[in-house]
Amino acid sequence: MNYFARLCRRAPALLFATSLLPLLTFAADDLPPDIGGTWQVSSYVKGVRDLQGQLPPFTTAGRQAYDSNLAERREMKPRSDMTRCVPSGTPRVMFAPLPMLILQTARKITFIQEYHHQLRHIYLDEPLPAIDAIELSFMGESVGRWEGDTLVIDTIGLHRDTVLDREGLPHTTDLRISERLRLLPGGKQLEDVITFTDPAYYSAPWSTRVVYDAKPGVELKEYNCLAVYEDL
Amino acid sequence: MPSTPVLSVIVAAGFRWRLTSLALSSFLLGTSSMALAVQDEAQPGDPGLRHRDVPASVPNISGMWQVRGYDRYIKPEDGSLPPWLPWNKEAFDARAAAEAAGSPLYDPTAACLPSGVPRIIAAPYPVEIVQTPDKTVFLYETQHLFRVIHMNAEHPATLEPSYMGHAVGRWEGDTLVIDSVGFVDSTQIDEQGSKHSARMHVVERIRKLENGSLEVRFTIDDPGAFSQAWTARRVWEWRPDVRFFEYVCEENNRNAPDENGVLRNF
Repeated sequence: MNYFARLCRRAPALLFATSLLPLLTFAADDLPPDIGGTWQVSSYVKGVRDLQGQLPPFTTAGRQAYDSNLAERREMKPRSDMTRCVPSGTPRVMFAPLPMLILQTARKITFIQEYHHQLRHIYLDEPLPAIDAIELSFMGESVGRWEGDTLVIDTIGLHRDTVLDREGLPHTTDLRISERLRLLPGGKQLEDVITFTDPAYYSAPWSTRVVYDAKPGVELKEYNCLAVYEDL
Repeated sequence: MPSTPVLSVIVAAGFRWRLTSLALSSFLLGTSSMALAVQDEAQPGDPGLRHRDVPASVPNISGMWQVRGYDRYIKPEDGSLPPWLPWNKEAFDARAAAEAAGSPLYDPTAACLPSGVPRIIAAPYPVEIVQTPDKTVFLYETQHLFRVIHMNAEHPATLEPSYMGHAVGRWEGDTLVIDSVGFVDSTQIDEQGSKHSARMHVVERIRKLENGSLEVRFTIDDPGAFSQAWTARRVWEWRPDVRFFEYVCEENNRNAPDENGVLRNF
């Protein structure tokens, strides 16, 4: 089809779109903040604590699982660890001390972590899938939405091969994670308040907070956990 | 007999939803003029999947793509053989012979290491492109790899060699030109087995075809492995119907059967 014909075919749509332009201009004022770019955690903690700086409220089963994970780590054979070069998964990767690149678009937010090149795909303005409709995974299934200036992300579907932090805070496959991300005043820091709901292991939902510093100009490096094999 | 550790690839079954790229249009639908608009918006390149500050003048290639067909052998686009240097031809033939004999040689991806460039261009898995004002990012399903193309930038003076290399890009009219250097020498050109040296320089030229597919022509210039530069071609199809599955290569040994012979799902 030649160019003129294409133009003619599109003419009604173009006219209609033009009539919508004032609406678009108005909508621009309501755009969410731009959290895209490179970030890195302000201070690295191996053991995640709640907002009061305490261990989370374990159930008896949760405490046992935690103690077991701690013991495995002392013996240097943790079941869930990067020693096997599997992804640390969600949410643990959010505490990693390496840079992350956030890509922001209208319908999807992507987190690229330098740490073991882990990718989180956050689909915006969609319902969470039913838990029995998905396969459990390291990164989980995440959907997000903007509530004013705050990006709210809900995640489910994490299999048991991950822990919440480096020390080994445990979770079951019923874990639900809700994150609230927002730029702090000045725009040079990003805050993520993460809430965990997992009744079998924690007697009440609990939250932690992690802050990232803007790292403009920092390029993600290549992280190859298994590169040592090349020397074998 | 030598044997290569066969690391099975676990592609976790997930879910696939149709992307709701037309949701807004559907909301407004009801006139024939909007029906035409829907048709146009369905063209490859999704405004909802690229950063809002990318100028409209930049061709939109953001969204999900997947290579058309799968050919594990990357050859010059005229179908001739790659212009190997003698050592590379020997390595290539040795690999083919070992595979024919049933004892394939080591392949870095079998140890879950990155495919590298240009091999990833031909990989038969979805790839999502995200354009931002200063970057063009490729997100790969396979091995959860990624490449960041730094737009209108220069390579640093010194580079630590990497599997995926360092990439800078620019638009030349309707063509995205990506220049990559800084590679390790351990990856393969392709699954078939051509090797390259650390001097490899890859230039990709990517543009939308009339039918909406994406053409990726890539030139391999590596005086350490080939007698001359050569150019290959792949076509990527627009796949808005595809969502990423989780692909974790290293996961393979975690589905060992328990005492009842049931696969454990950790």
